[in-house]
Amino acid sequence: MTPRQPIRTQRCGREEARSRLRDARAHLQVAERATPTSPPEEIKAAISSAVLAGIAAADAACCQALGERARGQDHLEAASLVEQVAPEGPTAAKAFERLLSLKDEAQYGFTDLGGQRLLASLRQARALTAFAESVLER
Amino acid sequence: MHVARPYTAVSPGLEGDVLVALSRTTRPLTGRRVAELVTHGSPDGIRKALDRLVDQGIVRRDPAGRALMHTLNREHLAAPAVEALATIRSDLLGRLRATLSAWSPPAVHASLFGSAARGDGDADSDIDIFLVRPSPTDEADARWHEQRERLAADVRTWTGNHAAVVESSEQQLSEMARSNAPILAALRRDGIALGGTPLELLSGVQQ
Repeated sequence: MTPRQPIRTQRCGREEARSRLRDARAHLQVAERATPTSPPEEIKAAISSAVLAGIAAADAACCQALGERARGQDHLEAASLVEQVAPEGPTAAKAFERLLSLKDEAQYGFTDLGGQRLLASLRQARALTAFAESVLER
Repeated sequence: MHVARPYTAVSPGLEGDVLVALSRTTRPLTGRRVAELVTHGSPDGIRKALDRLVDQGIVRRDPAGRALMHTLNREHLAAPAVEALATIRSDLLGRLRATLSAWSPPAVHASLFGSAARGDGDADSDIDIFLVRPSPTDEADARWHEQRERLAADVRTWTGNHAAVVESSEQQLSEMARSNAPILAALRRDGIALGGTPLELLSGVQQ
């Protein structure tokens, strides 16, 4: 997961962490409106919201624990930052990578993603939001 | 207890701040970066605290090029004590949640809000708790009143801080939502859920 080049980051702190955690919760709430029986385009929109929830949660945890968040286009850089958050960073980073693997298909793809992927994305987004909450509660 | 730096109850110097900052990451940090994360104390004070902690072996200092990088030595005998210091705030939330989950009648909703939730207060800050009372429980209901008073007393014992408990009935909560009461904005912005139904899902509060 270690990126080949230095990670582009932006400084941030507790206040920004709280703001991004609110974003994560709001995106997750939107994502949770869809179910596996929802129309395919709604499932894709919900997965896209789940991905946004995960990105916001990752930002929140990194701002709080590391004082910076990833700002590059490569979201795997963000995962490598999440991995450095103690104590649950490595587990959260894996969930983040799985979630990010759905991003392009959900946001730009031509094919439907299906209910199982929706459920997986919701599970990962919830785990990342809970991770960010635990980091901010420390 | 200082609500932003609760570990200062037992480690009042900058060493506590430095150890807690290092405990939040596995990344090696320069002294300057540690000073940025601690957010108070002078860079010189942080450097001296790091020197003392390196001498004690609880912080590792390794050269990386021209920089000196610092990490918490998680194998040190005192490392579990650092973890305990770093989790005082989440331990308080855990105790509040455990206490509230045993309530009868239960709170429809409970949140921590204010400076204790934001983590930006000081040793004189109140621990602000918002409760929604279930219908038809009256404010003067003996069981409700007793558990609320016990909670406030417990918070005082656990932290040394005064617990400022704000409560409303479900009906009053709906009225507060209709009038855009400032406390609801504060709860939405900074509140940390402690129990019951999340505020945004309560009827009358949904946006």
